[in-house]
Amino acid sequence: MRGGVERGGRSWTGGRGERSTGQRGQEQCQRRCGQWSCCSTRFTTGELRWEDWWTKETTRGDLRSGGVIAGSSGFSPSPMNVAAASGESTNGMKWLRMLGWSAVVVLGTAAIAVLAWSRGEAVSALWMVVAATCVFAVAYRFHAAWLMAKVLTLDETRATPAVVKEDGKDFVRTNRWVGGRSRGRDRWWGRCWRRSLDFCRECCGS
Amino acid sequence: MGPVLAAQFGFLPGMLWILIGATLGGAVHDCVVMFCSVRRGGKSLAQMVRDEVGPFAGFAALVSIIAIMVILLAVLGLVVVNALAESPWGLFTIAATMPIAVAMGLAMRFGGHGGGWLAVVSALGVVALLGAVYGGQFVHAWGWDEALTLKGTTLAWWIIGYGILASVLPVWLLLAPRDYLSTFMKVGTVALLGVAIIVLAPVLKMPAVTQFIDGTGPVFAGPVFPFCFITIACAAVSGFHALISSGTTPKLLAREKDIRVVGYGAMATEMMVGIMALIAACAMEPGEYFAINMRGEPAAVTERITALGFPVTTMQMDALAAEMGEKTMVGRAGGAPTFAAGMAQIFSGAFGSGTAVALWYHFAIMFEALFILTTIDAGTRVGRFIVQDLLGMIAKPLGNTKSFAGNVLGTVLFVAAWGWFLYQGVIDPLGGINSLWPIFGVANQLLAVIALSLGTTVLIKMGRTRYVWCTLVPLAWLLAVTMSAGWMKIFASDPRLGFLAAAADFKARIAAAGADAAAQVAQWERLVFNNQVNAIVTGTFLVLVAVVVIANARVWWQLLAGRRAVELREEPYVAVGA
Repeated sequence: MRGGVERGGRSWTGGRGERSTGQRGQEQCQRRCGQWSCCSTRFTTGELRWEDWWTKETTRGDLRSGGVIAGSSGFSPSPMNVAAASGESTNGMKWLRMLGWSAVVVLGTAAIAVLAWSRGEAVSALWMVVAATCVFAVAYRFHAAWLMAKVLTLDETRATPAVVKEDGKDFVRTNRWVGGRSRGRDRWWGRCWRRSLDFCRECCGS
Repeated sequence: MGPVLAAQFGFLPGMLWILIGATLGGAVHDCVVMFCSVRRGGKSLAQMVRDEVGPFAGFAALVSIIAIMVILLAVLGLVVVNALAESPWGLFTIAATMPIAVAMGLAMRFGGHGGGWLAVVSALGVVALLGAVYGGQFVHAWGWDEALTLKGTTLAWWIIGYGILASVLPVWLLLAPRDYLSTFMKVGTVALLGVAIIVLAPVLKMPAVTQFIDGTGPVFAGPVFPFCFITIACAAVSGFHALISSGTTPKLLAREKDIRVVGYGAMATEMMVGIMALIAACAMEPGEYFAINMRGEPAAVTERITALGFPVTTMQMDALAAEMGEKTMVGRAGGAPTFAAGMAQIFSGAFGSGTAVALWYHFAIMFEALFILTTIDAGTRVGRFIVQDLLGMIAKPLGNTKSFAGNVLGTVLFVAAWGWFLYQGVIDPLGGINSLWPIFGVANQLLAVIALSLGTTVLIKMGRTRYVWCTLVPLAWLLAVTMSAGWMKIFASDPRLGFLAAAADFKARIAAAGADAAAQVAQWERLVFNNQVNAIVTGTFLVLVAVVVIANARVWWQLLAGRRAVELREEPYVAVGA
């Protein structure tokens, strides 16, 4: 069962970390976190190893649709996953990627250093833009992924309230970028209203 | 606005706090709260605290949330008042957004619901909005000057009335279309600003660190620690996000994975917006920046700022005001006019001639005021529900959110609360920002403290004790910042900084004043009272949050010592597609 996850969790979320019920849970608990005291609390954690989430391939195998997960076949590894599993062939890519991210880190550090060591002379605002962009990229790529996989142990197989309680009014499955396609007027208004709440947080930032 | 105000310390402290605070503090905070709420069927922050920590802590959290929202809305209202007072052009533009929104609302409601129609109405709305910005410059020619030049106090009453109206009216008529419009404007403007900054590549004229880090800053009083960290909230760590990340947003997420984009990504984007605001403020002439943010007679203000080492003249300020199409630019505290002026200079520098500066300035003001009004009505509505919740505890029928009488009563109570602080801020001769913004900052970060301690509790319960420092470190930092800031605001001996010292100072002045200064004395008496209220409010916040944190710490200790059964109140597991 759940072949993809067992191969090291191709998705950086991936684990089935939930209240263990019955035998399946017990078995998972032992397999997943043997060294963890969490077994005693009867929770499994679905934590992934560092290698599983930090290489780019692992983020590719995310679960695109509910149907795949629901099926007994587990979810299908993407071509990238297969390539990663076969090892050697992506080593060049891996080096390139590491080099690229190192360059981003160096650039960001340099920009912050330029800003920090300026005294008296005027500095271009572009340095600040560069610093912020690099911090954004590195934080989102690494810190966010780590936070999701190791600390919060997100579970892609777990349905969210929007799915479980979907009522078209308060609980609406929404595209993470746009807010989804609207079907019907009431939904559209309801969504606008809620999205405005999401955005009102931003006004104090400006 | 936070980064704009914090620019008085120089660009470096603000920048570092935004970059570090947003990634290690704010993003973690938003994600953890969102995660907790997603796992609990989209419950709100106070409900989660009640479930996971205990009923007492839950109640304390609920009361803190109401108190914090009151202060938040008052401060935001104050910023609008400062931006629109004595500014006919700005007021015309903002007033015009309401009929536009109502027209859009009616068109959407009764015009059918095809996707094409939606696009047409949205496009027309945006065009009408831009037309309102453009049309504002003819207010003078049309002779509407008198009617649209309002004093701060009058404007405050209008905003209070607006808050009541917006909270009682049906959502589809005014709020939804206007919020929708302002969302468009927000995204467009921020993107445009980013492009403009890259094209123009302005020079940061503000020094990296100014001499004001010792607490003598003219924009607001207080040293860089802790005040830089409470002034910049939404761009770094903001407890207000905890209210948004729980309750509403989690009910919309299709997959747990989206927490990365919606929780972390949105916060990181906000970090970028904060950095842009900081750039806009620091690219201005420092002298002009300080003059815009200081209350007083233009001559006295410019003289004082020049003496501080940032040369500026009244001529320069008059030229700036003329360029922006305003009557005066001195003493427009609050951050919004500063940000708008900085943005206008960047836009007009990047996209063509200088003649359009006034247009850009009012565009920026419109954009800011629109967003703040959006927050005010959304916040009032949310606050009304919480107040009605509490009222329901006293008398059942009042808690019914569908009953009109309950609605009105809840709204009026809530609006009266923030309206009072708004009005006091407007009539404060020192510019209410000086006293209200720090309370707002403290309150906001204290809310983040509540959320982070809830996150810590949940992480421990989930068996993630190894990673508990993720929430514990920002928690400790924010606790140190807010507690010292709150303490200083109450007890500092400098009357500019400490509320009690200020009250004592005004009392001394009243005692010294002669009989001929009756009006002045009345004003001072009011200020004594206000400062005492501010001290009590701040003290209440500190105590409430200390209670919540201690309740949480007790739970942590019990859990780790094995004296308490681990009981995670998550919703039962349901498989995707099941």
